[in-house]
Amino acid sequence: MTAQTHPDDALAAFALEALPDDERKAVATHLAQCARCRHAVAEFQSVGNAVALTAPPLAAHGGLRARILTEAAATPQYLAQSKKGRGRILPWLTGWVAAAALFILSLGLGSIDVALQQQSGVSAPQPTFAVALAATTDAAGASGSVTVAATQTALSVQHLPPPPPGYVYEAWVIAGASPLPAGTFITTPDGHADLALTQAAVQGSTVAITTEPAPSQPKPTGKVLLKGIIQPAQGS
Amino acid sequence: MAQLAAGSSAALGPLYDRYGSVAYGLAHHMLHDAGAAEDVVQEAFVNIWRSARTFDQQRGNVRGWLLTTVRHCCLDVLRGHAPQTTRNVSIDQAADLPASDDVLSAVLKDIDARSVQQALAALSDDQRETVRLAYFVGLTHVQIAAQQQAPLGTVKGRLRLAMQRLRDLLAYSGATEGGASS
Repeated sequence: MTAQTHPDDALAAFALEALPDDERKAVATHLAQCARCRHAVAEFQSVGNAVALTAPPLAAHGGLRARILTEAAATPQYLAQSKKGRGRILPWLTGWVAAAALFILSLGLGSIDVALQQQSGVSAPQPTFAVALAATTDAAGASGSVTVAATQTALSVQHLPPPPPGYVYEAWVIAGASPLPAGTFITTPDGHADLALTQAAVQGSTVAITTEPAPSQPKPTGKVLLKGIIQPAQGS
Repeated sequence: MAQLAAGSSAALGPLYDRYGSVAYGLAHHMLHDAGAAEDVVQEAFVNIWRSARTFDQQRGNVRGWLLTTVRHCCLDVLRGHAPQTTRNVSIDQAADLPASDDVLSAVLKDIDARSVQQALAALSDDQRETVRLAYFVGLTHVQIAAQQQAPLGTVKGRLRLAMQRLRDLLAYSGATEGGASS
């Protein structure tokens, strides 16, 4: 499938998440290269959202409101990244962790291995928490977050433009001697994507995002665009 | 949303009071199970709380964001996926603001249920049923083709034409009526 052969009959189904996985991936790859089809999908998604309104409103059990408020009170929020703070090390990075992060930012992903080999005490996954990913100068304005739960590590990115034709974004988890590929993705026209990482990001590991030739690469070859060290924020 | 973004989880209460019945109605309509629907709605509202600091009020549509999240959680249930307690749907993944130049999303931001029902009624029976199976039942077009005993190509085309027709009808409705808020 190329940018010239548009998957017109699949776009509505893609927008409604009604495609089988293999076809969904093929369409997603095409969308990375085709603004025309991205626009069509966006319109179909808007239509789908309107269709939701035709479900009859219904009052839930009276205790649901209280359950929601109780769970929210115990749930940390994703950290918003201020414009002033973009590209800077987050305030909760302290000591040698901050130093390692600065080292990584300055030398790129190829040096991450060395920096992380010097670290020790990489621990098991902890209860759900979220950390922000910092943008490098190669992705100014972008932001992201990683949510670590007992069974899943979820990535969310914002303001990361769709990759060039033939390329995808690839997530990496670095917790040992080498970066492990953790999934590829493309972003929506205005730079958003959400996905579950295929590698668990344990505390002390680093999650990084690079641009790579499609469909994926076993080792990173592109510059680091977003990165963060997986540690729970103090006080969150 | 400003209070949520400022870290006040109690502000979810008024949001629930406004949209809770719509969210629960969608979840119950998809799952036909009160307990599962409540779990989904709970997860959706907590997701709103979790991501509130990233919400852009000038561009955002809380209703669309919430309903998209509810539907995604319902699809996980319907398709037998493991519960994704951390599932996060970004506000731009919520269909009301997928592209900054998408005029349609702005038109449909406040459209009401009656306008959508009228648009659905204008579809052929086959088209309307195909949209229902895809959107509310969560079937893939392959599964829809099997259920309707129709060629896959026919179902693909039917869904595309139905969505295009809905798009045109809703755009006209939203533009002419101003999309009265539901």
